[in-house]
Amino acid sequence: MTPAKKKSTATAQGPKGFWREALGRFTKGRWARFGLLVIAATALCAWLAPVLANNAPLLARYEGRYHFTAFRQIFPFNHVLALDEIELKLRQNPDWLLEQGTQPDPGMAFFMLPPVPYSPLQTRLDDTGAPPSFKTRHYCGCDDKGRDVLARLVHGARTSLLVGCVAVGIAALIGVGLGATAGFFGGWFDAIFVSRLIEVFLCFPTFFLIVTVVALMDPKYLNIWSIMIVIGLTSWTAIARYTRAEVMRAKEAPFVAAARVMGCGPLRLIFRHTLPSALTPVLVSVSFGLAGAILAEAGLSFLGIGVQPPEPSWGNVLRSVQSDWSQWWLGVFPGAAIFVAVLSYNLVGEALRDALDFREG
Amino acid sequence: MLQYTLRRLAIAVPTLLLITMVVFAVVKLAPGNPFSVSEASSERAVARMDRADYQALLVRYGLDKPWYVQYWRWLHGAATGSFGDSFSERRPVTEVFFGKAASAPPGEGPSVLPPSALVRRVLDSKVGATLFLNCLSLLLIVCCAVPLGLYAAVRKGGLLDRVSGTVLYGLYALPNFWAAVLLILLFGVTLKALPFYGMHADGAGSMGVAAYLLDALAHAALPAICLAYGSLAFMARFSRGVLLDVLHQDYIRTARAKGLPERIVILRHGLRNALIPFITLLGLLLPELVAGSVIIETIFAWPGLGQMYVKAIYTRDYPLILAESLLGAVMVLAGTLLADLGYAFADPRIRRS
Repeated sequence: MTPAKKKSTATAQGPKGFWREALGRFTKGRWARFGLLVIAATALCAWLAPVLANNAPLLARYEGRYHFTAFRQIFPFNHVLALDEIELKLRQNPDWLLEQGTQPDPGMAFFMLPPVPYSPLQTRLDDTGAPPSFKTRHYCGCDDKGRDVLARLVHGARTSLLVGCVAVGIAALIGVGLGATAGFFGGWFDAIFVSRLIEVFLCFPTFFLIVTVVALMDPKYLNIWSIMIVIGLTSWTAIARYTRAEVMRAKEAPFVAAARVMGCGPLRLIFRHTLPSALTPVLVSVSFGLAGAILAEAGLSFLGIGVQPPEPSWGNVLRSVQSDWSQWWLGVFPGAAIFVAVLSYNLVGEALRDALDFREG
Repeated sequence: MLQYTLRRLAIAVPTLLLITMVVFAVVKLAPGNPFSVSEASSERAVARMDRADYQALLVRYGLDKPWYVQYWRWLHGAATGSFGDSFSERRPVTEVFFGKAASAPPGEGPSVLPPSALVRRVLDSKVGATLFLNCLSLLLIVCCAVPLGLYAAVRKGGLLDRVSGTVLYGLYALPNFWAAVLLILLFGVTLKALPFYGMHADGAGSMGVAAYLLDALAHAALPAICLAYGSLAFMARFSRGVLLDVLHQDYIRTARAKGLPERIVILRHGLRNALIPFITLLGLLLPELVAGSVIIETIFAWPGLGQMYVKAIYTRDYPLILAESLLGAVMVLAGTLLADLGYAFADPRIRRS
């Protein structure tokens, strides 16, 4: 091989860099891609929930004007907008469009309903406990209040993902903050405060603690926000442990000593020089943490101390099977949603761990 | 060895203290107290109760004192083995946990019970019911996980290895309350093969011991499976990995080289060494199971600690909540300690160092 040829192959492949290489290894796994796909689908589903399951039309021509009512609702803070005429009509009668076949409104030229033509809060007494059927367009059946299960699952994805992301965000903030401080400074703050605290939390199974805190709360404050906070406040220990260990290891490195000699302050040393190396374990535990948070929310709602109906959540739909075991669809579909979501976050976490070559403990 | 054990015990004491403090703080910071909670809103319940009666109740249970006095009183009691009276059950907490026998006055002399009555008494206590369930699932875990892991490791890459790998991974992510719902739908509702509510059938009191135990076992089948499968999946994957590591060791090659049959190589030289980390994990498993039983016992109405804990929280039964979380923490600490000791016991290499 001539030297020139050698050089050209070297530039063609090039040094890839840590993240590029990790990404390559990550997307190689079949299961990781499956997990990523499911996560993307769930996220999309959560965002587009009003377009997928709604009693408002995707497109309608009503009294000479076009309306995109369902699309309006996917934007955040759409509540501040004035209601359009169709929303006003639906507020008086949620079944307005479904009844067009029998009692047509003269002003309605045409309309197109979403794939699931029910909203998650819409109770239809006639459909109480209706089994899954394509004819009634209740693809996953109805619950004991006559609400469409599939609509509740689609909108429940919003609840689950929101709780998961915010809870893990809180956990990551606390975990990284405490872990980095304890790892960097060591001393009494680490020995007495952080390490003991982590140990206490380890001795107390997380779900046990969450149940205790949530159940003791005033029911007035029991909503998804308080649940996120409780889950976040109780599940930061894994992140803190990994961050602490990584920071402790990194701060002994020569480049940190060099930075210190150059006069960097502790904040700069922590954030700029030691924390980046702790990023990989944090990323992995964030992925597992999301699975855990979704599971915790579902478990709480299943016990009846989580997200309260009528607000939809996978856990509280699953709970309703307990009042009537003959309605099997209330037990099968929401549980499957929880399972697939948890499974895919676990798969991604595992693939990340392999790709970033990070071992626990 | 003794010194090590003692040191571990000494570290456990401040941790336990901290745990009681955290639980006490959580319980005290929560609004409401046992006498203001009712199905209606808390204010109305107090309004209905005479103001004076309410005060008298607070005084009677020491709830009018500042929190540090309450905490100190509780701690003092706990150190002397008395955890106070449960508010809702109106009997000592120890009696709620362990059944009547535990707190019988010593004046009556040693109460010798016939074994049949003893079985009933043990199973009727909250601790007994939970332990019964958990031991059953532990048995299930060990009996399934080890052979599965063994087989998968020996036939690595074979059909069963690949299938069980995928299935076990799925099981590990399966939420146990959904599994409970599915099992109830399948075995309880559709096939009507197994009971799924409570611990005893009607008229269990008049059954013979064997029938009584069999009845309890049938009731425990579904909840035990729900508690076990997650850890089972984890353990099977774990033991497969450990066994694979072990099978690559030099001493396995030596054993093969000297002409031992493959069965002996795997079971005597491989498995025995692979079981050592298994013991450690098993010790860490029991607390996990107890935590899992909060949901599972509630679903199956199993009259154990988990279900009682949920009830105690709803009724703001402070002594019960505190005692149970202390019990849970003690179990976690004891589990880790036992795991470490068992590790040292099983592995002479560690014992010597």
